[in-house]
Amino acid sequence: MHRLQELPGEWIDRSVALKFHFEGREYSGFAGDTISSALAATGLPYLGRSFKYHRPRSIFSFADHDSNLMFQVDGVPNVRGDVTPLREGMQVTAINTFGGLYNDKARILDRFSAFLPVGFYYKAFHSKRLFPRWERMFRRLTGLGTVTLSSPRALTPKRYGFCDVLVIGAGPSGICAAHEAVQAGARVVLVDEGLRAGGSLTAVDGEERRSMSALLQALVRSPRCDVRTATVASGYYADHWVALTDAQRMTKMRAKAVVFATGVIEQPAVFRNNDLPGVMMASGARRLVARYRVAPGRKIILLTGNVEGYEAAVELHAHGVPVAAIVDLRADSGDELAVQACTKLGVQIVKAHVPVQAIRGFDARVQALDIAPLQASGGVNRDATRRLDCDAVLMSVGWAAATQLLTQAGATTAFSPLLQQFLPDELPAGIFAAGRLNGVFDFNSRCADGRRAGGAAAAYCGYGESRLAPVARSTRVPSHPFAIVDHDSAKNFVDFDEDLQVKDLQHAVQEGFDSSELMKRYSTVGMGPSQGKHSAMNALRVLSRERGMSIGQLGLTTARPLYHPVPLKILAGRSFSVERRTPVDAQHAALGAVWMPAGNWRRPEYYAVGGATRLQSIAAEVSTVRHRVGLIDVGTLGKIEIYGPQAGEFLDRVYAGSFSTMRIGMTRYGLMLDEAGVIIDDGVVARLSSEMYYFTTTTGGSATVFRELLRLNALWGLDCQLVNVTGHRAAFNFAGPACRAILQTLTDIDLSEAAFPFLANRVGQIGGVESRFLRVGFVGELGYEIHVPAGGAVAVWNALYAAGVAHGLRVFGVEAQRLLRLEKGHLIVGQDTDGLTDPFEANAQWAVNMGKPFFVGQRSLRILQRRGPRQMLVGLEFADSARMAKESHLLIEQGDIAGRITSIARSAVLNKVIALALVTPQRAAASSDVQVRIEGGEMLTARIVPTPFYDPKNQRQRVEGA
Amino acid sequence: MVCPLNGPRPVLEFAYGGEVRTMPDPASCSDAQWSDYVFNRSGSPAAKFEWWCHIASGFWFVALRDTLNDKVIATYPAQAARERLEPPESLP
Amino acid sequence: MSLLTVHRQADSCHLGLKGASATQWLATHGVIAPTAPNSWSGALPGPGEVEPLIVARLGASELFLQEAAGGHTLERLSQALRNSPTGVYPVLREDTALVLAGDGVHDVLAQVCNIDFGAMSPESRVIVMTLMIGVAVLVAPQVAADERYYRIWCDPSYGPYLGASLGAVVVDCGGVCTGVSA
Repeated sequence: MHRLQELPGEWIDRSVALKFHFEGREYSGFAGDTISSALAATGLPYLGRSFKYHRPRSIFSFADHDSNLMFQVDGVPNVRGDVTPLREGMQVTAINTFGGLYNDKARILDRFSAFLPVGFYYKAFHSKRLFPRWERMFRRLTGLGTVTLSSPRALTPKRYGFCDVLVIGAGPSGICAAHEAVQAGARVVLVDEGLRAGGSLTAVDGEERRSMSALLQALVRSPRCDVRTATVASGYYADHWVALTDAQRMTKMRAKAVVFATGVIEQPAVFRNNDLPGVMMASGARRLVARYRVAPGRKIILLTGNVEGYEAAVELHAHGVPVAAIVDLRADSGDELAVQACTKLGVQIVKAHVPVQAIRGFDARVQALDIAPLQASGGVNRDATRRLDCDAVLMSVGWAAATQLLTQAGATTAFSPLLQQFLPDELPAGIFAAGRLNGVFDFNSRCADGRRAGGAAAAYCGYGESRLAPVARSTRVPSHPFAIVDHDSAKNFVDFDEDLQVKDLQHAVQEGFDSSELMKRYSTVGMGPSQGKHSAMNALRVLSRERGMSIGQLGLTTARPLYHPVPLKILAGRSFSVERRTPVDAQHAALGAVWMPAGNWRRPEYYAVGGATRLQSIAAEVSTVRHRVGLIDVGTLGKIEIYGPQAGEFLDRVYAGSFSTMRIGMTRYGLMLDEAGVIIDDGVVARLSSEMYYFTTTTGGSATVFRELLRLNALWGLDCQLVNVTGHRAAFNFAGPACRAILQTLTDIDLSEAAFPFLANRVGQIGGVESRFLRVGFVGELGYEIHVPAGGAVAVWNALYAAGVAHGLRVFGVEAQRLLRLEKGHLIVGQDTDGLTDPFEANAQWAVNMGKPFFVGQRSLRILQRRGPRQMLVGLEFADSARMAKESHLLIEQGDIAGRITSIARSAVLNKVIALALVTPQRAAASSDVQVRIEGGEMLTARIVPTPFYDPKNQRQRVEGA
Repeated sequence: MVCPLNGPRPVLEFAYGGEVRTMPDPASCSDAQWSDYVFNRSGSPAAKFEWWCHIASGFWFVALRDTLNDKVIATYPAQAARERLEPPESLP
Repeated sequence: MSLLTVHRQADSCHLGLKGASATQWLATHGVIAPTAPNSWSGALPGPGEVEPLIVARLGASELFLQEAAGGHTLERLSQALRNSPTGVYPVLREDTALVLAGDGVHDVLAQVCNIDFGAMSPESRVIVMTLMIGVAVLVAPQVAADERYYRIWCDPSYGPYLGASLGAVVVDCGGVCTGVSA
């Protein structure tokens, strides 16, 4: 390959030379070059290695899918050379080599290819004994570029975009579609993965080029149109939102209508050594020559099966690159005008011949092509094989429609045997297809089809009318039905990403993986970086032949989003992660909080004070609550208000207990069930007035429970309204024997036992803030939950803290609270219950009123009551406190599982290890011993005991004064 | 999806709440009828009435959605869930 | 030209009302609520100025009022609510209130929200209930001196996260933030 003379309209700027390094040596290219074009111009024999056999490879399609020419560039892996602009000072190396591109030690794998059959991993890896060895070896051998872990984090913010009509593909049909939609008044975004618009147009002059340039200029100038090049539409998602990725970011483009003008992707011919450097697609050669002025060779053979091959020869000649010979796979092409044009230019034309093999030269590049005549029967007369010397082979044998995104949008496709191409069949509303994708091939028809689709898309969005008639599809055949030639020595590649040959696919079929999807998964065809864009159609043709079924019957594999690889940094974006904080978050931090996540919240797990360890801190917090007074922020609890004449009725229906009959000023535990009678949430319900209740849900369940309550309210239509005040109201639990006396100094409410008994609620002032006081006993001591407006939370917290500190107050965190409630035998929904636990099994029947007319789960409970429990929640005490079981350790009885531990802790106040466990009903009787298997298989003995472990008679709530 | 309150919004602003189903009378139905109601769902594709919630506003409504092609045919205020729903005569 | 800013209004007061008689009750106290669902009414001050009172209708039946520091209307209404008027339910609103203004405001919004605010007419006085980087928010597009700005309210527990995230985007876009940490 070598650089040609300057041509008007070329994409490179010869006045700006750019120096760069490749494999450690310095080279020079021009501004406007891509990495691949600059490297090609250096005359290096080959530029990359294949994935599996480490065969030398060079430019192949030059269409953003050259997966063998991905490079490590300035530390960034897998940079696509065919589309990445060259920059001054770039450090470029080949990927997937051992010892460099030109001295790759792994190239020996090419000779061992017979020992690496299709499905090799599945066959080799089933031996458990050998697996670690294989794994080590293949982790080293496989993979492409190298991730540089020291790379700085690059912020690539995602953003939303909005338009009426999104046109994907800026070739002739896409440009015409965008222009028509803009004319109709729509806001249009036109995107193309190429560095410039124009699509397949490579002629530097002529009527086609001039008309497209004029339209494009008009679009660029229009305030209603946004033309984005070097932007890949990489995935289609619901509501017409399309992921557009460019070098900087992902744009989530939400369109009202989408025109797909994604065109076609040229497909290779399959013959022995079709991967040699110098063998490439004709369309790629056209781009290379016209835009970057690099000649593919000096003696070129063009292998064709369509009229585009002849057109390519004519164009290349006009651009200063003569084609020596054209080998046509067909006997009678019907393209006489094009054939004559080529003959006139002195091109030798050989019809009805197939390529048998390409011959490799000393520099690893192609040096000749063996061709053999086709017989009338369709067979190949290999005895008549002859050799044509060459230094490049261009292939123009057919195309595959770029239907991947279109099918993601819900369109169906059908295979046209006439065009040998999948065509759009049924299109969902708001989706339009145009151009070669739509089976329309000549230039004027593509423009007309684009205008038709653009007008229809604009009309769909309410701009103008859809007035243009459909354009007739092509009648000439752009793709050869079977440009695949068998060879006994194989190396006739179908998939260049994964080094798959025809025989690999045949073997997959023979081994039973004989549908498109199965063959893909077993052979990995289409699973490499180009995602089958050059291999899926040929693989399907091989499958079709082996199965004797038509391509339409077999169908393509599903192309899921993302259609084109997207760097992880682009997907990560800014990585927002939602976090909720309570109003006293800063106070926690100042007190030494060690944070833990609880749902979306951050909560203090414990407070690290004075160098104490985690366990010491938690123990001290627990002790302070038991003996003095503690303060915990429980503002993460879901907090809901319900108003209205039927508020009590609503609560009676959603909770298992009764609330419509509860007295004003009282509070009651509420258990929420699903329709199957399973416990899903719990909390306390306080009646503040005849038509107003205030209740809490668990921290984790608050959002989903509130949403479900809204649904039930919408369903039942009761006269009541729900308000979620979770974040608007803070809540603290102030608990411990000394809490009452301290609190009384801060509030006007009479806290005496007579005036404010256990389970009552009161509204009053604290530190000038109107607050709700709920007397509850979750931690098992005298205690008050104080619920205050978020704006007053800091004042109240500070007042409680300041008043308490003089009496030895400590703030306590989630871990201390869990231990305190465990001592009291209180369950935590979702930890001590599972997805099947009903109230009878959780010993919570006291919170269920089966006599009510209706509540959610009641009917199922009637059935469950008759059936009896499947498991029971019980208390356990361990005799041995030296070793400890953990949550989820199993209870074992005669070798069978008899239950599991749901919560466990060492209780200082009881001086033993206590636990809650779900056990089989047979084992639930108190005072019996059970065996618990802990880590290492050791068995510990535990005794089933009644709960609560601590203060079973609830005397701590009756302490006056203290 | 067109929310009856908030207008057309991207589908990721909504949460799915299951198919709209009629609860049998708990007082008169058999255990088998009740279990069928609680545990069994029809997975066969069809135009179905479903609960959907616009998350940001907490607004529940009913959508008629073809579960074969994931197309929302129409949306209704939540009262529709209390009425007997019949799919329109002609489905697109 | 004006500088891109995100500002947290820490000193404004809020009140929510629900119930069948809420609109009527407000009117008897001299505050007229808009009738269309998801709309707001009030004066149209500049982003830095003090607006007397914004009254918004959320959905069909919920009302949301914001008053800047110095006003007395909400105080007066809160006093009146102590008499528990029939069919009027006060809703505690401790929302975090943010104001996003200046050049490039739509670039910021496009990074955090999938609503096309640029295509929305501020004269329509709509309130948009939507999700912004995972948080349920109320957004009121407003205009002063031909410049768009946006009032954003969210549950206060999300306030630090939303404020800091918006702040980071604003700073990235060349703006400044006040009252939030970026």
